[in-house]
Amino acid sequence: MMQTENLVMHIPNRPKLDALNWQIEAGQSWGVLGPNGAGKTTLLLTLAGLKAPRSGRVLLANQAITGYTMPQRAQKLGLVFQQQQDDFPATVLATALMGRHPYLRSWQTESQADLELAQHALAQMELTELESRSIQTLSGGERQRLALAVLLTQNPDLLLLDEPTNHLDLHHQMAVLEILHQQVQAGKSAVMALHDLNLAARFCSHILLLYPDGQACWGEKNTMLQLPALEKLYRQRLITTQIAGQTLFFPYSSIG
Amino acid sequence: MQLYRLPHLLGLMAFALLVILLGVLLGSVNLPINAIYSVLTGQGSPLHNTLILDLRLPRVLAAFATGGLLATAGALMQVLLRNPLADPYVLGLSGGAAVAALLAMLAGLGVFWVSSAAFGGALFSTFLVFGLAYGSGQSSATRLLLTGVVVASGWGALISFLLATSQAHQLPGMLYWLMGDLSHAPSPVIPWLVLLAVLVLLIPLGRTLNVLARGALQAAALGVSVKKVELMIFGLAALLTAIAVTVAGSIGFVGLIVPHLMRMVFGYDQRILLPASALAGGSLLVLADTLARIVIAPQQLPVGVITAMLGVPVFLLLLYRSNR
Repeated sequence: MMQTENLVMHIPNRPKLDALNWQIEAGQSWGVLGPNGAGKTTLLLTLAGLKAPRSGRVLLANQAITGYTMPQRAQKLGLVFQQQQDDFPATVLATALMGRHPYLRSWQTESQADLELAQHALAQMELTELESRSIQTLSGGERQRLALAVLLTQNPDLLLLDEPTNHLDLHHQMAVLEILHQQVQAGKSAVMALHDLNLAARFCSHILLLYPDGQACWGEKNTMLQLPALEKLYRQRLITTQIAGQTLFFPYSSIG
Repeated sequence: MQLYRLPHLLGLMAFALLVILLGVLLGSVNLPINAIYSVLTGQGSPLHNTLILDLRLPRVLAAFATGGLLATAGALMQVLLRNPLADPYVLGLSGGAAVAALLAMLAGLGVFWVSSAAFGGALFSTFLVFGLAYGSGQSSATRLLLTGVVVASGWGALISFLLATSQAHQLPGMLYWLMGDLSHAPSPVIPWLVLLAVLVLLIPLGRTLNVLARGALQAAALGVSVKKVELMIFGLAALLTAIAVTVAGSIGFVGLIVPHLMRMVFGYDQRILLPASALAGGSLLVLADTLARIVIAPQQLPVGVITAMLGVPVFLLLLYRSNR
């Protein structure tokens, strides 16, 4: 699906960054873990071709990402950002329909099939009832789900997600990650920046760790989610416990 | 999908025609409606012929085109800068035009040269702002806006300087130009051609502009070549504004308020919003100019005064009602 060749991200004032030779296959869901400012968002933007790397290159379906036209690229990969802009009002449905933009020629308008895709995505994100509301009236969690609905409407093969569970309540965290899991099972790939180790352990098949000093390592979930590595990653003591065969991680604190 | 808005748009078009008709009939001398018919069929009296074909119709058409140009440019600027407070002049365009036009007036040049100077000044200011904002390699809507606002302040200071140092007998003409005035408007052919050409050019860009309003990164993620599109909007908006300024001086308010009015009525979709803004902006300016001609006839007011007097209460009323 996607490959990086000696990829070094462009992060100002960070001279020592590991080169990434990374393979993302169909059916894999990658969790990108790292402390604040480690470069998770920059990594996603670089993979999406929206930010030029310092060196190396990104291959999408064996072709350099820079070789695609913008609409072609947007048909193959989609991105959900941490924040959404809404200086101008638009309805929830019209916003979801924007996911079809890369598929439509400039003179075309959205077809009935496009409308159905958008409505299906809104239903998956439990937003059907808000369809005709203005996006400016939505809560933080509703906005986040709408951004995911845009991605589902866009329906790319590779899903890049910057903290997809941001602002979501517990039920919607599960609902969203389960839908992403289904998408990956159906042959897509996902790369998501996450802060919750337990969600990463449950919903990701692979993990990439981004250290603040520029080191990176990646591999299967079980080899990566090891206590020493994670404690070094976050500079935070962790405690683990086993429940129903699953390892759970908790940050240690001297209080409580 | 937005076709259900079409009747509204047709209604707006009918309103525009009505306003144009009113503009032709009303003035220091009011004409009966059959005067138009007889003039158009070649049976009008010489007085009516001159009044309609040589005086009022060109002026009304110039007013309509100017309003349409400004409102379209405003709608484009608001998307480009992702800022609902943007207007066609926000990037210092009218300031550059004004300084050049005032200098031409001070030099005692005629109407043609004043207009040409205004056009040149507007383009100069456009390139200046664009070069400063994008030249450093980094570009963002905020940077462009900030550069434009600061350059505009610079032009403002130059305008004040020119006004303060010029002779008393030159002041009225200069002030009229600054407030926007259609009494010296040149032939409306070029403004109309440009307005129509740009609107046709914008039709296939409408959906892209909708996506761009969601932010540059989101638009890029959805397959928009952001830089290319932004450059094109910037160029088109600058051209529209430069021509409007050339025709009528700097008429405030139309470019800022009309897109907002249209958003309240038609929703945000640029595919409807841009033609609607052009129609409404044109109608507003024709109405305002008609009033400017008759309120204290036979004297005329600068049209910019009337646009605000008409537009402010209408806008506030709609805003008040939409918040309930």
